[in-house]
Amino acid sequence: MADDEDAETMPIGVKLGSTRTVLVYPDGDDIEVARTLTCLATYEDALTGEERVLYGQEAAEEYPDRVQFMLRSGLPEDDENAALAATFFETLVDEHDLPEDSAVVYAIPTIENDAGLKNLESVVEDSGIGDKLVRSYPESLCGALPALDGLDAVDRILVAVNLGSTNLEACAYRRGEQLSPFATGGVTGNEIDRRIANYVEEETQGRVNIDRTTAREYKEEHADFVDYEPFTDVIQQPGGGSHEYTIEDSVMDAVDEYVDEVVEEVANTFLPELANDYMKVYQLALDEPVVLTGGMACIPGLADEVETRLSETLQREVTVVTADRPDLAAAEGAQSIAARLADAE
Amino acid sequence: MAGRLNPTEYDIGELRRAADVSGDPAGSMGVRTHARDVVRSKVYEAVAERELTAAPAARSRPFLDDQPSSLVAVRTTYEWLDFLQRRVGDDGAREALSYYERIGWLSPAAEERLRDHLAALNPPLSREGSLADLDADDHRLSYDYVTKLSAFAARERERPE
Repeated sequence: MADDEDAETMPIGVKLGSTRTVLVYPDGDDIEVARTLTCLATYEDALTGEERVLYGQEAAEEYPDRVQFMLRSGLPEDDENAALAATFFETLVDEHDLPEDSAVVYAIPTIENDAGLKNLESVVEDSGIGDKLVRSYPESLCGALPALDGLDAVDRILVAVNLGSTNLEACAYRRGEQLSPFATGGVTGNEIDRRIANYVEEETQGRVNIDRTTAREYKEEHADFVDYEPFTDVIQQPGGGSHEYTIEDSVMDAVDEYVDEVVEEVANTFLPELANDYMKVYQLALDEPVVLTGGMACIPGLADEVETRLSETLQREVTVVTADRPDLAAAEGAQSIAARLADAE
Repeated sequence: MAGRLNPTEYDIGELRRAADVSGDPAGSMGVRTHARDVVRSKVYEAVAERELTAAPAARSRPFLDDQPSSLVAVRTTYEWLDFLQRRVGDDGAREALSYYERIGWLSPAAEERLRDHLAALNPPLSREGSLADLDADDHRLSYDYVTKLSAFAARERERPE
């Protein structure tokens, strides 16, 4: 919560993600982290007739029929989604009592999408925070900071790979300078959710169809390269009764393919481009740990799998690291930048 | 507002000040790079290639006698020194230059000028090393830089005053 008596500018880190939004801000001596699904649903108050807004998990659970994820592609694509995103973000900001007198750093994917960025500007303008300053930095850079030495990592050469829901991004940074940024929408967390849904249908011989939200939940709860265990679930049959089924392979097959595809893109597309443009940076960067960020990096053992397969593909030892919470890292890194910028103002 | 929210157009100087990192924001030459600079980099490579084909590299030792002064040559020089410095630190880079002078890649004068340039660069944080830490690939890369620089120098000598 913001302290009304505190006259200092509040530094806030924001990651507005396609699946989840994360806010990081100080609360006294502690750092507060708010993490919620990037979705909202509206409903009419039965007593007053007024339109009410629900967001996050509550909206997804209570109004699955009308909940809207407005940043499906990573940025608001049109006016309607921009308006929804603005309502969502304003509600979130109000709920956490974040002050206007704040320095806000947004961690944003580096996809080429001018229209989306313009729409995001209107969301940010209406948010009611960031009177002191507003900045944005690449999500991969913000996410790499908590995994390394914090802000000191700005002075290093590093490669950061962001495993997002809607994009795979990779970029080298030389003393804070962005080199050879690469992004593809072809290898994504969302695609893995779709694949899990298909594989579940195959594994159950067509008896079970799950939606992508359920597939995402399976992935987040069960995918594990270290200690995977088959799990059971139950569906209600349309004609009554229920059907219990066990998932052996669907989840891990999909995430296993995902790791192969990530390694393929990084080793055969991004790194050759980097080597071509900045030979010495390429050479030096691979002596340093490659940082994985983003929600997919939360899967236990995934970073070690990427390390093993990337080392095999490149035929040299590569170290891969993640922050303690890769899904929060971008907002945490953004907040650390905001704190310093606020101090400098 | 547009510039503030485009994550490829952040101010590196401001970021480095926020991180309390001293020195030139873009490494050696103060060149800011984002997506469009990849193209710029390719242009730079093309200029370097043209220079190389226009003038043969030195074929006798020392390979690099004069320090070339064109913009592309200076940038190449800083890239090389920055590489050595980041690989083995300030002392290691100086050791490497001495070694290259001993084996005839550099003239004593060229080595001295390179040391002056090295002193102008910011030593990277916590990077220590020595000549022994450079492997064959590193020396191959250094040789590539020496060859490029000697070609630039030869090209400059051939140009009319």
